[in-house]
Amino acid sequence: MKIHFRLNGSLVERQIEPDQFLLDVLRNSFEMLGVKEGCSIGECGSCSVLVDGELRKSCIMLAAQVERCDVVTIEGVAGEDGGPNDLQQAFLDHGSVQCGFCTPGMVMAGEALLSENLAPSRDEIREALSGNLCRCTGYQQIITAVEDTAQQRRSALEEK
Amino acid sequence: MAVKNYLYAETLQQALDSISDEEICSQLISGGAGVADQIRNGYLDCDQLVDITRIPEMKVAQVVTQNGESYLKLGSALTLNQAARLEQMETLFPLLYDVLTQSSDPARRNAFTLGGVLATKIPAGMLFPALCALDSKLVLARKDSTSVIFVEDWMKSVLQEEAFIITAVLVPIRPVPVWRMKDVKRRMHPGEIVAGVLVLAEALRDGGLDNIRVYATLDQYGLVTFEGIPSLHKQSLTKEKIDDYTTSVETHLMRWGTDADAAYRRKVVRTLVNRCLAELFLPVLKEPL
Repeated sequence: MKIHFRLNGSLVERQIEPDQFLLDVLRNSFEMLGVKEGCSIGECGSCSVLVDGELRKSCIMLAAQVERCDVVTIEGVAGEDGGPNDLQQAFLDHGSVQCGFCTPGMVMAGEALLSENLAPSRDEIREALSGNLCRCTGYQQIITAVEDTAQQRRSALEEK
Repeated sequence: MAVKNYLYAETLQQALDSISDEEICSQLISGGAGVADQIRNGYLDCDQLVDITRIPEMKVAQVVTQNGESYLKLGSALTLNQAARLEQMETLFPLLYDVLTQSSDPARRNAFTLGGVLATKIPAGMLFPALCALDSKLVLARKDSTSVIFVEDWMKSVLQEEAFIITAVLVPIRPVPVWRMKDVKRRMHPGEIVAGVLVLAEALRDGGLDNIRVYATLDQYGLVTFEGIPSLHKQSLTKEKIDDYTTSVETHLMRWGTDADAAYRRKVVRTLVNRCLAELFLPVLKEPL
């Protein structure tokens, strides 16, 4: 079967199997290698993407489900110059990255939260990231990076 | 059996016709998490997946009246997050709002649909106890008929022979003052709820408590109900009656058997139930009997 969807802003189509996972199609057919395969059962969140603006785990979603949807991967959140966006930069600044395997999923979960709430408490950030596991950092630096980015985006909005 | 076709059903009738067709083995898909699990574990056995998320009536959220009672009708293809975000949810059903927003992590709340968790009977946090406590009902559509069943009866029912689709959940809108207590065991904070207990009672004007209902949920095992628990009334409350009450709860738990797994489940649920009941009885016991 053929599916059509928007991937990081571009309309795309691909021939897929009806029972193929979105994770596999993104990685193998579109080379979106920032979408990581971790647990494959929806526990770790390293494969997180945004589907129509909502955070989803691409390992427990079939590719056929995104027909006519808008899919954003970590490759789609980079800054206009192709460098890290403000949230990714905050991860770097706060030492929120160690092995880096969970980082794309963490950034996507952070983006999903910030798209709805630019003044999250640390508890709200913790809840928003609760489906994403990190075995290196202990989470505190990641939470700080999201908190800091929220503040920056709030300030930017106020300046406008 | 490899899946050969993926059908985006546009109407309920189209979906019902597809799953009733004896020539093609079809399975419904809404959020996809259940089907993904079946594929990963190698036991998805169908020719065709029928996607019901694009059927407009399966995404509806509206107040309806049936037999003189008002209900919030929730389409079964609504995800748990979509249901939680409904304007009416937090004000009309604070308990349901609470359990929906704590049912899992955000990404899985975006994947799990009401119909999906109810069809598979796999617990999503405290959702099943809350739906039962609110006397919620399910609308089941079959090819030639529609029926309504209480969620509690549904949870205890055996596999349906005839092909069906859960099309909606009906939550009664009742301004009944209730006392409630919820206690849960999480995998980690603010992580997934692995076990939980919900105790509800009608608060009587004289300070008594009536119609006490206890529901528990346990990871992998689903809903646990405690039937035949007597009413407790402040005027007639004695230490013996409270002891009888806790004994009847314990009797229910002992039905799970004596193996190590049952013993562990019993230990978790007993702890949560006893903590809730202590909260329930203490204010009553504080006053002279």
